[in-house]
Amino acid sequence: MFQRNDWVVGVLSVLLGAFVIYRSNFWETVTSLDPAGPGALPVILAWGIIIIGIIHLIGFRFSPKSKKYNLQELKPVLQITLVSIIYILLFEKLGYLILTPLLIISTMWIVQVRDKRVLIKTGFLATAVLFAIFFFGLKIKLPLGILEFFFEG
Amino acid sequence: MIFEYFMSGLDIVLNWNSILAILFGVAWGTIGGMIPGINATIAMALLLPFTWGMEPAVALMMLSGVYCGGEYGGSIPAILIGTPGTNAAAATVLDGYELHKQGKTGLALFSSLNASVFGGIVGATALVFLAIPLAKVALAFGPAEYFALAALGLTMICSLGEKNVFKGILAGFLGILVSTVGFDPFAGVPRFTFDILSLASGFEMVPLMMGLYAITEMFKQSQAVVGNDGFFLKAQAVTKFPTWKETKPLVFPASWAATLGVIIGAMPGAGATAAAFISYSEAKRWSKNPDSFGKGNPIGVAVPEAANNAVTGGALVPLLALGIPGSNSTAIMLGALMIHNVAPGPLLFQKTPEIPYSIFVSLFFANFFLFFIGYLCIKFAIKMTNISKPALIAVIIALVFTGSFAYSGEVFSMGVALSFGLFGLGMRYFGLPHTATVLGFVLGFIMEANLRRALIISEGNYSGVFASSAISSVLLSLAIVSVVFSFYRGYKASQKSGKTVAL
Repeated sequence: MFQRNDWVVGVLSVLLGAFVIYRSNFWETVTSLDPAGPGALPVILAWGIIIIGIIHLIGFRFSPKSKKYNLQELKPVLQITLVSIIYILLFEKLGYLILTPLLIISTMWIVQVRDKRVLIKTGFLATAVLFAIFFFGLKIKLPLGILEFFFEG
Repeated sequence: MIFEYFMSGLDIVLNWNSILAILFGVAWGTIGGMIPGINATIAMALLLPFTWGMEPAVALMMLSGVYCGGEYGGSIPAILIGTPGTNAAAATVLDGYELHKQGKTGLALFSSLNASVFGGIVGATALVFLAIPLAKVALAFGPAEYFALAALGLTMICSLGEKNVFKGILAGFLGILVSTVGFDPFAGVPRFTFDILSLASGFEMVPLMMGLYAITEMFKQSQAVVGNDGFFLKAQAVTKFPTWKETKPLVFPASWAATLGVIIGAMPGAGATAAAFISYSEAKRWSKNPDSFGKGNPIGVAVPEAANNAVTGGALVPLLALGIPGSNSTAIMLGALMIHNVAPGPLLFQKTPEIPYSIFVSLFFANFFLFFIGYLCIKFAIKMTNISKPALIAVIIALVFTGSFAYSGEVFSMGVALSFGLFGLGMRYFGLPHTATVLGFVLGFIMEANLRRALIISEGNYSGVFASSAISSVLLSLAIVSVVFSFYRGYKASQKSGKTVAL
């Protein structure tokens, strides 16, 4: 029923529950017009989360040892996350048409694609298709950044 | 009388303008539903200005077609890439994507199509014969009853943790907690917004779901590249139409799921997403083999699809009979009615019965066209997934970010999708079912809002919520029985695997 690493679930649950109960003190108290109040459900959930956290803090001791996590498997996740964060931060400044091919190319590079022709072809073709569908087909105003003057008028 | 109105409606539908409008609407809706971030509501909103020059009945028939197509279209990416194209298709991911991974792509896609068409026809039939009586049933559902229904649907979270019931409950509680983020709708108090303006209205469902499903899955797929030469091989999917032997076990579950979808669709505010998850939850609860759900059970595909397409008929009930839109999509249709100076409500059936009945008849045609358009879309979509895995990972991540931005117009939504993607990966590592979180998020808002409304009405008396009516009492009793049964099943499952818990 339990895993060896469930102590992490337990600790995080107790901390989250405590935080929610603490924050609820800053909200309006109940009135006759709203008997439950804004804090009622979050506090009930917080207590439930704390109880489940305690159960896991006790229960993990009775679980068999599990195999260690291979940290190398986290590397592509962290790299893709970093690339995505840069994409999001620069999205409105540099624009969709510049950043999206770079996102696609760098993600494929992270998952070990090394053929430059495939990278460039996939990056630009996929971007063109997505742009055509959303910008022209669905009239979604995707930010164009420094290329905006090409599409004005 | 109904037969005469039906024939007058059929008369309006049987001309080229109407047929083409329905066909276009279904195609537009299906394609819109296939694109993550674009749902039936948005597809309808985009067409609304173009209905200005049309006859009222033709405009509404086209929008009904969009509604039908949109509710189905979301299942295609849900099955092929684990990314629901619409919120309601999130339930289809659970078993649909698993079937695709097992190579049974055709079974998943065509079962989804058949169930959607079937559910849509059941919804249309119910609409023709039961519009007025169903409207009365919908009126019987007040805040206490909505709360009880949401609570019953939420009890499914107990069974999603498999051997560890507590993890299912924890994941569900996290989802409900996430749904409380934003300004409290009753007191106007900001909850967990941390002074971030974009969180004032809470987390948007689309980026959250795309993050939890698609981004998490793409992260997981990218991890598989480490030391795995088979990563670059393309999967060979079986895409043939299912046989009658494969389809027959789905008929009964799809039938009652469609009935449930019509009833839930008739309740204002419930919607296709709630219908899909509640019917999935009930199908799993009453199944002889509940552990097979979430592992590639075709019933897990057919049931939510039948329910969410049956909603299209049910949601038109409160709109046409009472003038109350039952969902976001029917709110768009209300806009179309107002543009054409048509007032929905009981008088609509008395003064101009040909308008509502032409819409009812058009739904039959829309579902008929849906079968062929869906078939073509499936053939096209399958080709798209034959690209290499690394390209698929990269393009899907780009698509999720694009869809998230398209949905809200804010870069913040892209950050939400990414954050929930990482959160979902963590949940997978610790064995927390992210489906329970999504279920909690979808139903949590309905549950809290209606609980507080019921308490306001009963002036703080909790028995006024739990025992005010037979409907709420029965639903809550079922919810309690379901929770107890889930704990019992979880305990038995632990015992079977030889692990006992000394608590």
